[in-house]
Amino acid sequence: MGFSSGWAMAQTETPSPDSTSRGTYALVAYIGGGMSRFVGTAGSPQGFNTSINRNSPSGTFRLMWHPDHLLRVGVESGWTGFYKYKVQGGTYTAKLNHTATPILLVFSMPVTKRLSLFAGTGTYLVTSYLDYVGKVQRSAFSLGFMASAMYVVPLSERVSLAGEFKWINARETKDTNLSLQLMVIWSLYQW
Amino acid sequence: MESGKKGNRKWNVAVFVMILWLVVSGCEPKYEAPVPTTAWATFDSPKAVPLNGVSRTFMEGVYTVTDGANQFGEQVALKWSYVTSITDTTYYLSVFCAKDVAYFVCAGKKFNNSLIFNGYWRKVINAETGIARFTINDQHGATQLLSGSPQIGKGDIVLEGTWGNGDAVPANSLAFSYVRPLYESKPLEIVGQRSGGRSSDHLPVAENSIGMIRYASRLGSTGIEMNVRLTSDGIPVLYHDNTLNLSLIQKNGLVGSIEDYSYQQINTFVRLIDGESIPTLNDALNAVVYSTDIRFVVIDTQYIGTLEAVRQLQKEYLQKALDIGRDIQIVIGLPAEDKVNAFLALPDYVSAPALCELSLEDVHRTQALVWGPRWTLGTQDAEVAQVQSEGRKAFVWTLDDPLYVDQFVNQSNFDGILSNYPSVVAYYHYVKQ
Repeated sequence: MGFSSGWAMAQTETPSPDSTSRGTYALVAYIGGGMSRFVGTAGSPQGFNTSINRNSPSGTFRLMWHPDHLLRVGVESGWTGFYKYKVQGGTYTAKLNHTATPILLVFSMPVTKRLSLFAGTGTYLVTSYLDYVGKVQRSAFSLGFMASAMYVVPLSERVSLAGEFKWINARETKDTNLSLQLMVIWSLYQW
Repeated sequence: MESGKKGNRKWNVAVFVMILWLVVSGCEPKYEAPVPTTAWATFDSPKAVPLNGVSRTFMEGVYTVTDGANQFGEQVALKWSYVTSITDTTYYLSVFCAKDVAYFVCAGKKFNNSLIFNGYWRKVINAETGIARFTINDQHGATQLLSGSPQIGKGDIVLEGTWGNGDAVPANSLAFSYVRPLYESKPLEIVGQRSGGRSSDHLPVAENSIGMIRYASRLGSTGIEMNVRLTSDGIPVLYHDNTLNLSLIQKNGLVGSIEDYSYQQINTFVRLIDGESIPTLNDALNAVVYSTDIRFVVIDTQYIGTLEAVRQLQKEYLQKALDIGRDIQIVIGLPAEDKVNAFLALPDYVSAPALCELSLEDVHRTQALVWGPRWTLGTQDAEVAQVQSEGRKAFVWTLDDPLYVDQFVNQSNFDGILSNYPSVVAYYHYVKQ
């Protein structure tokens, strides 16, 4: 069985309820990157001349189990920038960069033959890097979510290309961004 | 068969989208209790003039709630407090209630032959708040209170007024009738934690801020517990939690702890939720000594390391208080063995007042001025009597439940109570007979 049929298994090969045999399972990797835009409130010191950059690169790595039914499950990590800002004082410049690495449990379901929805929950390892009278880099965990919609174009039996529109939310640090990523989907193993 | 499959699939997709929507939308309720806008033309008119000290002092007392008891309980305690600035002293009338941890904060003025009060009420167990206005007219005590030597008895003072919700013009009637003076036979230190109250209770000012230190006595505190941490360059600052988090500070992009950053970095980038800077211990003690009527301070050190910087500030501000004739106690909190060891490492620990939360043996070892056991150990009458016989004091922490506050105020012999709800402790203490 090729990947493209594996991808579309839910539409074409879901066993009938009275069948005792199962369909094909697949372990599928999603790797991609793109740009994200921070859509939350970017915190920066009041009363200073601050320039905030809300656009950042982002990348995703996801490993999913595609069973022979609709609901799929997997894990996700990657990297995303949230925002960075520069504070211009009289004699100094301060810079802060705020980023995150997601560590999420992800569920997905194909809605049509080409379109799938993803939802995940877990934690974000949020990192701040401050450069102002010394450099300080610290990280903290922030519980959060993700949700995305992905449009898939099969290239071969095992490889597909996809575009993903993703929303992520690190709840405790109140960080939210939207990203558009180009993904490569590769069926690693089938059984 | 095919249509059945499609039906199942649509159903599955609908469930998935519903779960997705729940995940995306979240369900985080947002509570806020902003102080209402209290503008009142009568109160702000030039005819309204400040009250004198006699009027303030003699109207303090325990009052029966003759109208509005459903909202604020059957009985309340009225007490004045003040804050000072370089040019002025401002007095506030607090009304302490048992029901729903409610309290009022009002300013008072003389208007013609009446006394008028303008402010707000708040229930700390929820986010309810609103405007409150009172009048004591000449038939109900104003004449007495404005005389040089009032003789006040039961029923001689009646505050009549209204309360409302939020910024709405108050329309619900409210009346308090004087019963007796506040209980003062045995003083009790009412120590508000986090410098007076918690940010999570949506008070008008942030916890561990200069604003909170100035607000603490309006909540009933006679003392405060400051939570102290050290910045990476060794400056003691007020902050409670282990981490910089959005329940205490405004968003700034920084994560980590106070100890990760220098004071200059903290002071430039971090603001408490009400917009204030994180105060240094020096600024905080300065505010206590020079601008409040707070008379007891517990410095609760929440870092691991030397207490030298804290001890120096304790010594400095005890002397400054003495210099201006104020009787203030400033003690270093010793909640754990590592703090005891750091305290004993101080070269002059014998003369450093401390509050030891551990055993009586540790109290003796550290020569602590105050023993501070947790409330769950009970009233411990014998141990309390023992430390008091040694010339020490006994404070209990942390009492927040009104039932237990009532029990400890009325059935124990502690000299002080640490609480996140000092207004409740104040109520039960002042209504004692």
